[in-house]
Order: sequence, then structure tokens, then C-alpha cells
Amino acid sequence: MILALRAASVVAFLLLWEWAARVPVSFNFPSPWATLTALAALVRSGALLDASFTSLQSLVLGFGSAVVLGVPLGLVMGVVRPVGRVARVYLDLLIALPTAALIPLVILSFGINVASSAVIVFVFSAPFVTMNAYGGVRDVRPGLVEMAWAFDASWGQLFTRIVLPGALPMILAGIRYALSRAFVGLIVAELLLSPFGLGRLIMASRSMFEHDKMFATVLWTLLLAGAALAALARMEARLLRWRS
Amino acid sequence: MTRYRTTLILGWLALGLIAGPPGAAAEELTLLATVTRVVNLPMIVGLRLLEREDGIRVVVKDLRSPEAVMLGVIDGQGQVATGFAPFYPAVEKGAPVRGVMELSRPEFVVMAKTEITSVKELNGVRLASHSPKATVQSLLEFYLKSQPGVRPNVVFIPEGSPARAEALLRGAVDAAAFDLTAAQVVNERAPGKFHILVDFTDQPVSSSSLVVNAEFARKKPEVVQKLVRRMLESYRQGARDPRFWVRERGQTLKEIDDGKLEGQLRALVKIFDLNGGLDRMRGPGAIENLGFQVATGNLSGPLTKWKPEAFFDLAPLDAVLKDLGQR
Repeated sequence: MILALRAASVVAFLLLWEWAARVPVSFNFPSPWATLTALAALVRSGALLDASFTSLQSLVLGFGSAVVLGVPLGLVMGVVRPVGRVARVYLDLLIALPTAALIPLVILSFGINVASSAVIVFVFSAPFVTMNAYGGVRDVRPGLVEMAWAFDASWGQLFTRIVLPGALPMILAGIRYALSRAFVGLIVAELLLSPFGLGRLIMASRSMFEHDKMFATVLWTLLLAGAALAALARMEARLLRWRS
Repeated sequence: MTRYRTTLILGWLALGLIAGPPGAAAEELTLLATVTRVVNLPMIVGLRLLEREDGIRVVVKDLRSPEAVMLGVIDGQGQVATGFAPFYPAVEKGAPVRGVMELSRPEFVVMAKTEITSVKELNGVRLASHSPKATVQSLLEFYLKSQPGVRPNVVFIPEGSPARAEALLRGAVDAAAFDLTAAQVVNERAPGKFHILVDFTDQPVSSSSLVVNAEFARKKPEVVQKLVRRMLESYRQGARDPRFWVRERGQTLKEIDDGKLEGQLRALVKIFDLNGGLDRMRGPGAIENLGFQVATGNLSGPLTKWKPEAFFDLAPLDAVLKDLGQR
């Protein structure tokens, strides 16, 4: 049933897209077929793979740093309440921050290179990783903590046996959400900061009104993001198998 | 009752006078442009003349990118637009738009640290440019083709000339391609530290054109002609005395001091053609202009497949020049 619904939604989307191309809703609006053809051509030429390799460097650097720094910070915020109360304000501000407006400042501070776009990716994703880790710790059932204390558990045991497993579902959900934000940040950075990677490909095809190539690159980015998210979901299911 | 009726009739008459006769509504024109800069001021003044002298209301809408401007005018969201490099690929893809006059020749220069004394020394250095298909990048690529062995490490900063000037001033890059006014700002802020290495302002190509929606041009040729006329009048009066542009600019760029603005406009005067760029839209000049677009990849080759008429509609400019005379 679910599969049928999914297939129906995809078909409906493709039909709507085809209709938009036939009208057309805007100048040179590409059809799904033209987009797929352009995608195949871009893959064959190697342009898409080269661009993906460049973009993924920023993504891995920025998103990796967000996870490596964000999760421990969130855990500390959750365990040490005063730290949580202070840091939460900054996290709320970071989430509401119009990050794109800061891009010129990022260029001047970090230079025009992969590091700059990694910083943007980090700013887009890190607050969500941290916030979820913090929320995960806060949501650990007090009854379990009390029980651990009653059994004379040490701080280390409490953290590794109760707090961390309890917070893990939220941490992983945060990482998954942050990954999708990281992809958004990556493209924003590459379009506004200094076009390289997939952003450069999008910008170049947009300038030449090659909208089929532009859509193909966007579609490829969606496929990459989808694959990464699916991989994370799989890892999440495996790590949380103990719950079922 | 009689007084009430008289008041009512007078009221209706007054309303009728305010509204005017049916069909006499003022003409309105929407011009789509990328963010207004000093180089656009002569055009803005031309639009103000059009409002004042011809009673045509003009709305200027700024969009972020030249591609968005092109899409807007193709879609009819604006009847007129400033056309930069994306104008050419748009026409190649069948966009119903035509250039009716040149707005400016290139206003760009390459500025570098004073330690970089020749173009050859640009090889391998970090040079900031706008974006892959921007006019300034096209000019740069075109120029570098004539300099074998010179391959700067081009980094793109698509935030506009001021951002590239800032990057140069802060040492994020060693050279940058931007407009003349940004070069003046760099010289003011860091005198003697940077110099103009390449000047594109004498290149015989159009940097931007006044582009109209073809359907609008067909329906309202008289409005297009009036627009071209006021533009040329603005260019000619401003070329005689740039203070004219400063005086007539209205609220545009009011944040810039009059004296400073006049200085910037004096530096730019040479890029505004007093004949609307006719020489680059017809005959051998037009072929050279289109050749530049082919060489930089904005148009597919070979050049022989392109006719200037596919890009430019010179009827309004011809009519205006017949009236005003050529310079």
C-alpha cells in the first residue's frame, strides 16, 4: 500500500512537471526527460562527478565538524545545567541567524577556499546537532537516573549506560536533520560565496539559460542528499535496534 | 434638496476631473535592473527625463542577478531591462527580447598589488572575478587569450565589485577585476598600494544593452522610441557636464556625496556612447561585438551563423538619431 502510494506520488509529480514544461511556466523550462538526458550527459562528461568531489570536501569538513563538536557540546549542556542555560540562548540565536547575509564576512575571515564553505555548512548544521543532543539528555527518564543512583552507579556508568543510550535517538535524529541543512548550506555557500563544485555548475548553466543542466545538477544534489540521508537512517536503525 | 443635488453633481464632476477621461491613464513602464550602481546613473536620469517630459511613469525593480533580469523581461514582468552577458545566450535559446541601444561599454579594470608590475606576473596569482559567465569574466577570458602563458588562479566572488574591492584591500586576493568606481575606492582607501594593470574600458564591445520585450516593442513602438530618445539626451547632456547626472538623479544614490559622485561619473563618461552604441549593433562593429560573445562562450560558434538583427532592433535608435543627429 505504502509502495503504491509512493509510486503514485512520484508519477503525479512527474506529470505535473511535464505539464509545467509544456505550458511552459517560464522561459526554457525543462521537461523531466530533458533533465534526465542532461543528467546523463553531465555524468558521462565527468563534470558532475568532479563538482561533487569538490562539494563533498566542504560538506564532509563542515558537517563532520558539526557532529564532532556539536554532539559533545549538547551532551555537556544537558548534563551540566548552568552550561545548558547559557549556551541555549546562543544556539537559539544561531538557528534564527540569517546565515546567507554573513557570507561576505566569512570570505574575509576565512579566505576564498573550501574552508569558507565548510564554515557555512557548519553554521547551517551545527546548531541542530547540538540542540538535539541537549534535548536528548534532558529527555532521559528521571526514573532511570534515580534507579542508577539507587544501584550505586558511578558518574561514568550513569553517562554511558543511561544518559547516552537515552539521548541517542534524539542525537541521531538531529544528525539526520542537520545533514539536510548541511546540503542546503553547501549550495548556498557555493552560489553566494565563491562558485565552485555543484554551485558553480548550477550558476554556469543558469547564466547560459541551460535550464535542463541546471535542473539536472539540482536533481543530482537531491539524489546525493537522499542517498546520504538514507544511509544515515539505516545506521540509525542499526544503532537503535536494542530498543525493539 | 436643490443644494444637495448641486453638491452631488459638483462632486461627481470633481471626481471625473481627478480620474480623467477613460483611456487617458498614464503610461507605465517597468524596468528590471541588477542592483543600481554609479554606472547606471545616466540610465536612471534618462528614465527621469522620460517621466518628466513624456509623462510615462517608470518603475525600476532591482533583481539580484542578470539572469533573473532576463527571465523577468522575457516573462513580461518588466517591459524593459538592462541586458548584460546573459542577454546573448537568452536570444540564442529563442528568448523574445531585443537590444535597442547600448547602455555602456565595459566599465571594468583589473587592479593588482603594486608588486605585480606586469600582466605576465598575474600568472598563478589569486585574481577575483564575478562569476563564470559574467561580463567581467568574459572580458578577462577574452583578454587572457591574447596573453599566452598567463593563467591567474581565478576565484569567484559574485557579491559585486565592492566585495571584490574589499577582498583585494584585505589581502584575500592579489588582484581583482571590478568596475572603475571600485578602483577609485581602493585608491582612496589604500593610496599607492594597488594599481590598474588592465583597462577594459577601451574594448570595442558592449557591456550592457537596453533590452525590451519583443511583444511590448511591437505593441508600443512609440514608447520605446521615447525611451531611447531620453536615454540619449541624458547621455549627451551628462557627457558635456557630469554634474547634470548628479543634479538630476533624484533619490538614487543619494547616500553618495555629490562631489565624489561627480568624480566617479567623470571617470566613467568615456564608456557611454553618444550614438547609443550604433557602431556595435550594426555592420562590422556588431560582428566584432558578437565575435567577443562567441569567443567567450556566451554564444555558440561559428560566428558566421549570427546576424546582428537577431539581437538588435535598431528602428527606434535610427529614428531618434535621425531627429537628434549623430555625434
